[in-house]
Amino acid sequence: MQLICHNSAVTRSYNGANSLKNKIQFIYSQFTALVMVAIGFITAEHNPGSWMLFALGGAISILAFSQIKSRKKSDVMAIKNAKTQASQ
Amino acid sequence: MQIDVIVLFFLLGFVAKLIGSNLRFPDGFHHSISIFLMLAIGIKGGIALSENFSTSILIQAGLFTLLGLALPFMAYPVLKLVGGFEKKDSAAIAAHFGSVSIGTYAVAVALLESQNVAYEAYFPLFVVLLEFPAMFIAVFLAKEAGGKLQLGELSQQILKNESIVLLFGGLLIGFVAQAQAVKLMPLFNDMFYGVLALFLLAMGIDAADKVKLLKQNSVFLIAFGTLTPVINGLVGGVFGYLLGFSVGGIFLTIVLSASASYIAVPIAMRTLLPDANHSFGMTTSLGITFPFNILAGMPVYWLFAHWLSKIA
Repeated sequence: MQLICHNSAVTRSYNGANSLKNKIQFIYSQFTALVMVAIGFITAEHNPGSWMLFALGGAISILAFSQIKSRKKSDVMAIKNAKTQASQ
Repeated sequence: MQIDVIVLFFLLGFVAKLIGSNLRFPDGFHHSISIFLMLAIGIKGGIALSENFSTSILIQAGLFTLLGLALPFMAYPVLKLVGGFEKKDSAAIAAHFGSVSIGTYAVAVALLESQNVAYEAYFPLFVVLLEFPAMFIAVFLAKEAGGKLQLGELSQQILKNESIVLLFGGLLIGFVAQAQAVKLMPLFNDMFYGVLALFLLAMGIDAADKVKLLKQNSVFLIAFGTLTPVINGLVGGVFGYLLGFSVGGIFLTIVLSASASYIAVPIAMRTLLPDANHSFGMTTSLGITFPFNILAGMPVYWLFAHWLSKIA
């Protein structure tokens, strides 16, 4: 019983810290994407390469979304595995 | 400002590697052209320094050293708190972003010269000075991260570092030789752009290799490798403006601040922080920041420099 409680507490704290880190990284990536697109807009008139900034901003944003999605999936799997091990 | 033709050589190398071409340079060739570029930049800067030497340049040099001290401190907390890297890994990556990229500087100078934009030709002195502080900060961060290296040992390493020897040596040769250095110009000046094009071709191949290595923390590293040069460039631009540089000088200050080292610092970091994962810093500086700066960053930096120079 003690072992199960310990395992679930470890899982919760691991998951909480990981989830916070994922969220912070997601916000940072989205902010970067926004900055790239904003610079692209501001300099578009004089910068023939501004499309690269739009593309980069878009790519970072999409990658950040797909990464947080896959990390959520792997976290859910990790919790399931931990629960299965604890119950065994 | 249009993208310069030499940048196309970088794209050629990058795309060739991505599509799986067997394009490669003979062993040691890439290293040889790096030596040529560092010597050429040093000699040209030394000649310009001898022609314009004044106490105000010494003051500017001192302030550039302070800028070099500040830049790694800006990157370190982001890497540690947002990136979730360990202290030693954060220290190693931050040191890359406090130092400068000779290749990026060379491309920036080529852009200015192709557009006939005047700039403070003694800038290579600042390039050398921006290499030093990042290494000292690396020691500080290394101590924070449990490193044991002594300052005396570090000073020795700095003096022995190839890029410092070549840049500083070139500066001294140019400074002492002055008019006599004209004899060297057919090699170090006239051939500069051709060699730079070959260098960029090799860098394109290397950058594509590094991009392929991006796996762990890849989205964060891409975001960090593109946002940090913009933030550092903003700081550098304001710094250059406050020092009273010309528009070309402000542009070069932005480029130097925005660039990340991939020659001098990685070598130093391997000795300073042997336990750190060095692939993060090298991958970010060479695989993300270098391509970002020369493809997308330069025109933005130029516009920012132009805008700053008009505020007076």
